[in-house]
Amino acid sequence: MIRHHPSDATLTAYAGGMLPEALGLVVAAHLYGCAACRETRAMAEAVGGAVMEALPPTAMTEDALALVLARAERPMPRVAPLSRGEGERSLLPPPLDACSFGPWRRIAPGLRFRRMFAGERGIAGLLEAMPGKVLPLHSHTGLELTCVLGGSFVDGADRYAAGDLAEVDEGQPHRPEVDGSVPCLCIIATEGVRLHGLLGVAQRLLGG
Amino acid sequence: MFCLRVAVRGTVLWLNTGAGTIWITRAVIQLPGALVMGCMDDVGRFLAPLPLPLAGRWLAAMTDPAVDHAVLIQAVAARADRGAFAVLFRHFAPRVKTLLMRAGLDAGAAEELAQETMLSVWRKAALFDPARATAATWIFTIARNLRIDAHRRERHPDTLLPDPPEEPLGADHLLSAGERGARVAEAVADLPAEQAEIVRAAFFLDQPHAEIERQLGVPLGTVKSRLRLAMAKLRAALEDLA
Repeated sequence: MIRHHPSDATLTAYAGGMLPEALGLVVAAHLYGCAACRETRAMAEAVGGAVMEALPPTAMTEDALALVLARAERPMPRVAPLSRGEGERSLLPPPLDACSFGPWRRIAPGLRFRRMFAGERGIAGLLEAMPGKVLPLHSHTGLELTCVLGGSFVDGADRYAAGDLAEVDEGQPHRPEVDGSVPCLCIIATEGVRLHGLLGVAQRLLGG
Repeated sequence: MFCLRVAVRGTVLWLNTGAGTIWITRAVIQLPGALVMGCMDDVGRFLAPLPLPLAGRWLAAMTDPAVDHAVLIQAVAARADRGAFAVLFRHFAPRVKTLLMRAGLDAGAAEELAQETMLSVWRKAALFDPARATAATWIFTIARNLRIDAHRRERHPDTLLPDPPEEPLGADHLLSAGERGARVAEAVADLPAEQAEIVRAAFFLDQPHAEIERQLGVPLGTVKSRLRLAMAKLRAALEDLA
């Protein structure tokens, strides 16, 4: 039973293609297991269609249609198969199958991080924390999204288990703690160029 | 091969062939204010007017443009119908281009991606599922994905990221996509200006959270609460119908 979802703002930005890619990975992981949020995304996409339909047209170049029809005649280019990473495959939802991974790096006792993606607008990766591990109180620039893949953690009054997505806004300090007896595996992403939060530690350690 | 042609005082409406293909025509000569439907040959000569009852039925089918565009995409899928594609192209390509320019692309890049989007419409027409989305929504998502891909190639040429997943439809999809699309469009048009602004910004502004705050001068908390209100209204509008 999924109890924690991304905000409408985050889902709409995802549906509009405006969420930074790193954050989009976390949302994709959550959507795979959450029918309610898929429904919201479908609605947001319908809004996108309606918004586009209502836009004033901008003239295309004179020969645009002829160019496209000429290209349509040619056979479709073959798409090269994706190169596969290895590792946490079995725990990852299929939308993340195609991601390539960096190596596991220990970033603190009981805490390791494996980079999946780093761009100028954010960093995403897998974070694994051992049972009982308490992360230091921290805050960050930009939005931080975390989707639990296995195990669980508690943050304030909320408990996050597999499928749950934790959305923490800029400057909102929090102090997650792994509960239960198994390690907690999450996909986590933060936006922003300079990272101050937990991933900032990872970023500095990894020389990102 | 013949076509049907409809026009009101030179304002072009739709044109429907017996084979189910719909075209947009040029103006037809007629009496001021009169509605004329009739058959046309390949070179556009008006052959004969259509009997009124039949014309009425055609017209009713044509008042839902979302349905018509869906039929056009299916015509492209079924028989590589270039005429149907031309209608889709003339309607959607200029709007996709505007959307991409609002999202920050320059005119040249927007033109290129709009052409790319329409090429995908041609190639992927068989994947279009009218039960899942309206034509506009489907084409919007194609343009969105191509924009993300182009952005990725430019900045992270060696990073592989997955496409958004396609899941089976839920049992609660009782409304046809056409109805849903029309209802959503209506509900968006009815939103208070401050909410509509935030909703549109989600599709135009890169990095909306920070950017909306900066460009619209609205604090992040307010952005999120306005969007939540707007989405609640849209959900309610859809539930009314179910």
